[in-house]
Amino acid sequence: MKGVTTSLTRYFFSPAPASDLGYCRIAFYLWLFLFYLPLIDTYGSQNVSDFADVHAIFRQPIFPFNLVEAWLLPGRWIEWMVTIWRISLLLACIGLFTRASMVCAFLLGGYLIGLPFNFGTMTHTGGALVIGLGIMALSKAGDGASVDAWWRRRLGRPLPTIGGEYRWPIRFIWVLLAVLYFCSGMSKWLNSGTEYLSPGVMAGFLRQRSVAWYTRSFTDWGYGLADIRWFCTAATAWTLVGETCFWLTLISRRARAVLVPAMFLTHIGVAALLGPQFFQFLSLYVFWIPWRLSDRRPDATTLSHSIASPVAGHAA
Amino acid sequence: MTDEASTDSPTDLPPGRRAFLSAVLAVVVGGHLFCLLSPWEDLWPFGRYAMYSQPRDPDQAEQYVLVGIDPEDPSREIELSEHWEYLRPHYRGTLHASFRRLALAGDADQLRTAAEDCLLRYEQRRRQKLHAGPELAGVRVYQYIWRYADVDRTTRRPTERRLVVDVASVETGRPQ
Repeated sequence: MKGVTTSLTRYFFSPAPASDLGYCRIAFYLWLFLFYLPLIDTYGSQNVSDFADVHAIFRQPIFPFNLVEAWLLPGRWIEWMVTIWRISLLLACIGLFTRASMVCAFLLGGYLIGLPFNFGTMTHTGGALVIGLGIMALSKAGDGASVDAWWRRRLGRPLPTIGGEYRWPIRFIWVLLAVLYFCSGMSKWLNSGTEYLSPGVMAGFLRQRSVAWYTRSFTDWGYGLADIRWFCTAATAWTLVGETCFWLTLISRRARAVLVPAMFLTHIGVAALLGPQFFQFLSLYVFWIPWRLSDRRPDATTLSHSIASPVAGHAA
Repeated sequence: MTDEASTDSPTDLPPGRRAFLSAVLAVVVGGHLFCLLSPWEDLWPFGRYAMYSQPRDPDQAEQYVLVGIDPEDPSREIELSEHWEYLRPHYRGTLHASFRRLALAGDADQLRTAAEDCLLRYEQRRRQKLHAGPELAGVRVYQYIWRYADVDRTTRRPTERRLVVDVASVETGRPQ
C-alpha cells in the first residue's frame, strides 16, 4: 500500500519545471481567449448574453443552476461577465495577476460555459473544460513563463522554477481526459455491448447527422461513407478502443505518442463527418504537448538539488 | 507509472496541500464514474455519456425544424436554422430539442407559444438589422422524417413532413 501511495505521490507531485506548466497555461488560455472572441460563427462561441431574453418555455435548468431561482441573470450583467471573462483569459494567458485571473476565468467560465446547457445545448465537452479551468485555478501556473514571474525576478524576489506544484495540474488534466474518454467508451459498452461494433451503428450516426444535423459537418461525405461497411466497422471499433484504452496514456509513453494525436484527429474527423465540434474542448490537449523537446530542461540531478535548495526549490 | 522520468526525490508539497488536491481529484474521478454508473447522472453536470452510446434507427431519422413563411408566397418556406444569425442563440439542435420536448408533452399551446417567440425573435433581430433575412408572414414547425431507402442522395430532402404548429405573424410584445 505504501508503495502505491509513494508511486502516486511521485506521479502527481514530484518536482517539475514551472516553465512546462507555464507554457501549458499560455497555450490553454490563448486557445480559449481566441475561441470565445466572437470571431468564429459557431454555436460554441455564441454570445451567451443572447440567452437572457430567451422565453421561459425554452428553459430547462440543469444542476446546479436549478438550485438558484434567479440563475438567469440580466443580459447586461452577462455582457459584463463575458467582457471580464475575456480579460481574465487574456491575463491568465500572459501571466499577469495570474492566480486571480485564473480563479476569475474559472468562476465566470463555469457560469458562461454552463449557461447554454440550460436551453437544450448538448455536448459532453463543456463540463471537462470547466473542470480544466478549475484545476488551473487551484494551480500555481503563473510561476513560470509569465509576466508575474518576470516582475518578481526584477524585484529580486524570484519565484521557484522547479517544484511539485508544477506537475500535478498537468497530470490532473491527463486523468480528467482519461476518465472522460473511459466513461464515454464504457457507456457504449454498457448501453449497446458488442452490437455497437456492427457497421450499422456508425452508418446510422452518419446518415442521421447528414440529414437531421444539429450543427453542420465540415464535409457532406458522411452519407456516402455510411454505405462502406468496412469503414463503419473500423470507425466504431476505433472509437471504442481509443476511448476505453485512453487511460493507458497515463502510464505509457508509447500509448501517449499514439493515442493522444489519434484521439485529437478523431475529434476533427467527428466534426468533419458528424458535425459536433470540439474546438474549445481540444484546448485541453495542450497539456499533452511535450514541451521538453523544445526546451533545455533541468535534469534529474537538478530537480533533486532544487528540493534541497531554499532559493531554487519550491517554497509552498 | 512505469516509464516516467520522475526523480526519486520526495515531493516538496506539504501533506495538507497534497491531501486537498488528492480529494479534488477523487471528486472529479468519482463524479464521472457516478455519472456513468448511476441513474442520477443529472447530478453530475460535467458529462453526458449516454449520447452516441446507443444505435440509431437504421431505417429513418426525424427532426423538428422551424421554417419561415414568405409573405408573397405562403407556399415558399425558408429554413430558419440555416442562418445562425436569424434566431441566435437558438440553433438547429436546441430548436429540435425544445420542440420535440414540447411535442412529446402534447401541449399545443406551449408549442404555439414557443413558435411565436421564435417569430418575434426573428422579427426583432431583423428590425435591429442583426440579420438580413426577409420579412416573414409566420412560422411553421415541422417534424421532418427521412426514410433512408427513399431519400434523394443529392438533395437529402425529408421524405415526409408532418406539420406540428403553424403560426401567423405576431405583433404582440414578448411574453415571458
